[in-house]
Amino acid sequence: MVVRGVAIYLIVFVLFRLSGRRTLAQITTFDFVLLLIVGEATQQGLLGDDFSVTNAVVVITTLIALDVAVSALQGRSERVDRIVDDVPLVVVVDGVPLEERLRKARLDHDDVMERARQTQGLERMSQIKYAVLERDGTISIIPR
Amino acid sequence: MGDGLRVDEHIGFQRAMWRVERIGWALMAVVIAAALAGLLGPGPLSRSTAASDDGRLTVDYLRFARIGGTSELSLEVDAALVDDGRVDIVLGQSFLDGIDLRRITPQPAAEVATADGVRFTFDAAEPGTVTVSFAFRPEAMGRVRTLVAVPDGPRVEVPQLFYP
Repeated sequence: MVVRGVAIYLIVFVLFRLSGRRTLAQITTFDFVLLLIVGEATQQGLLGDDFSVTNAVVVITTLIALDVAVSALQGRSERVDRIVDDVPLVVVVDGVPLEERLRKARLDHDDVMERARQTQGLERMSQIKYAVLERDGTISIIPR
Repeated sequence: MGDGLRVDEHIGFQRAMWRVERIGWALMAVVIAAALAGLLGPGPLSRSTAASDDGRLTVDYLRFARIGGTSELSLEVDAALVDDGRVDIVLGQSFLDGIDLRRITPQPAAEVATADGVRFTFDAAEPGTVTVSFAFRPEAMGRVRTLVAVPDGPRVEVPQLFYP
């Protein structure tokens, strides 16, 4: 069961990480439904055919211990931190969108402007000094 | 970057991560294609038939099955092997050790432990090919070469892979 827990933890981590940063960071209604389905599909693999309380305790303990271990590693190693939590990315400089970065991050001008309006009340791209795609998937806007 | 903004950018890492993402998407496509084809469980590439050298015993089986999933061995035994209204089938012990046998159709008249494995005896009412199926769930992962045999008669070894 411990092995199952570790295997599922790693598989889910790798899949979510490969899906790109925004997939589950900014949760839409559909993302939420997807998350529920993923949870449902994972449950069988985690517990197998043993539905005892002992098994639940073992699996939960394994997952939480892994989580603690990973965050401890992140504190020690910047490299691990980057692998687990990604890095911020500047996508607009002095009103000029960096197109290649936006495309690779699967963002467009509308995403940036939406945040600019919501957080800063800006009207045009040219009013943005910097836009940064943060590690949690939100875009922060620094006005001129 | 710039005068005021202090962002801990790692554009090299970011580009590497984008490449890894691309590779990851390709791998996801491979996994999905393999699953559809039957390389990860039931499917067209998984379904297979093995026959004894003399062709008197054939076994339909799944090459790839999963622990906890359902699988089946479907046997066709030539009428010539029916002796006095009965036919014997032996399943290898190494196979039986790694599975949970769920259902045998038809029900065997007798099950006897032997050196090779378990010998199942079936009643065969009329002359003609006898069809017997064993439904099972794999319980241990790995490769098995399942022995299916008629005592002192044809034998087939069925290669199967059980995924976790």
